[in-house]
Amino acid sequence: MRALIVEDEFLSRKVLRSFLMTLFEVDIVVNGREAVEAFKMGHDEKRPYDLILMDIMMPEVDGIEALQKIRDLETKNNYRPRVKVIMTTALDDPRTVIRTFHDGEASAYIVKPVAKDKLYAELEKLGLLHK
Amino acid sequence: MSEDPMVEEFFSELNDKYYPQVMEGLELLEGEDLTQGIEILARPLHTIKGVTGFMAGFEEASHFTHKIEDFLKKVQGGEVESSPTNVTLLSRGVNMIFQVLEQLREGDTDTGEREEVLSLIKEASSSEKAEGESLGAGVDVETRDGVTVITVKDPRVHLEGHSKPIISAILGIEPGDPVLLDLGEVLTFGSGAWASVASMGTTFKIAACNLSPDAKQTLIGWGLDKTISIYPDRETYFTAQ
Repeated sequence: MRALIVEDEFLSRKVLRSFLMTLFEVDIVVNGREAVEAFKMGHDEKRPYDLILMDIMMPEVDGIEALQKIRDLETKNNYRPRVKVIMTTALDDPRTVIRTFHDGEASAYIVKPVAKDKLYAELEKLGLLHK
Repeated sequence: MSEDPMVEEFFSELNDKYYPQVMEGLELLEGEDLTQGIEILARPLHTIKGVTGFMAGFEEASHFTHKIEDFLKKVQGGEVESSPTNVTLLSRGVNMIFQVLEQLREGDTDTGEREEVLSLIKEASSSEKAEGESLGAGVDVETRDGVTVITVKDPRVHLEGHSKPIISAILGIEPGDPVLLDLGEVLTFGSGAWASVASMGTTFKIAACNLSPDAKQTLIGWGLDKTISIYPDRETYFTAQ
């Protein structure tokens, strides 16, 4: 299985990678624009990502915008199943939480710091991890 | 009840945005456009599930909505049949979400009705699964006036496990001999199952009686009735012979 980590901060990238590398083949990008590119490339190569871990606050294209672009591409190209996207953010702001679920159809939302058990619990709920 | 900004924001969005969306979806669901109805319901349900997971004290609403969303997906994917009973149950479950949210907001701890809905959903989901896994209830075979009468015991004939006993029973008789399928206990008969029976209609003289409106509609709708004659009941069939 493949996972994409979208994260602009070095230390977070390192930690998230260490959590996921035993379960997935992991790629890392640093902003929303690159995330959309990587998502497209995955489909072009017929090896789409199973999971995207997306930070919300990022320079250039932010996480919510990138997620919407990804969902638009999925709808336009009829990609099925839709990729599971876990949004990660330090923001516990109600509007942001609501927007990620409603506008972006995020699969889950984790408030930072991302602890391993929290992340694994979400992966299990999404059917990406079997105990 | 709560000063939590997440709760406030959520309920305001719920009333302004999700409730109208859900009502629109339910109207289509109960009307004539099941697919579109499900499509419209999917997003607000997903949001309610996701956001309530972040609201202290509303975890149960998230859990309940998750179960309803799951059931919705099963109906959408055909894993659970979109029969009127199941669609009504789905609609009841969706309405129940709002009731659960209100209850939790008001501190009402009565969980009786939601548990009833959840157990009905569980039952509806598992009976489909059990039917799919089992080999089916099979058939009863008897002979009357030189006609082999096959009574189908499964209420729903869709999978190979359901239609196989019928096919085997037909293959047990001599080519050219008459066969009467009594479908009095069958509620729905899938097009695939009809096609397998119809393909044998050139070799055997196949007739069917006591068809449910649904089974009949599938047979005729798919144009598979060319090799199968239909009779209202057994007596009419034997009188006509």
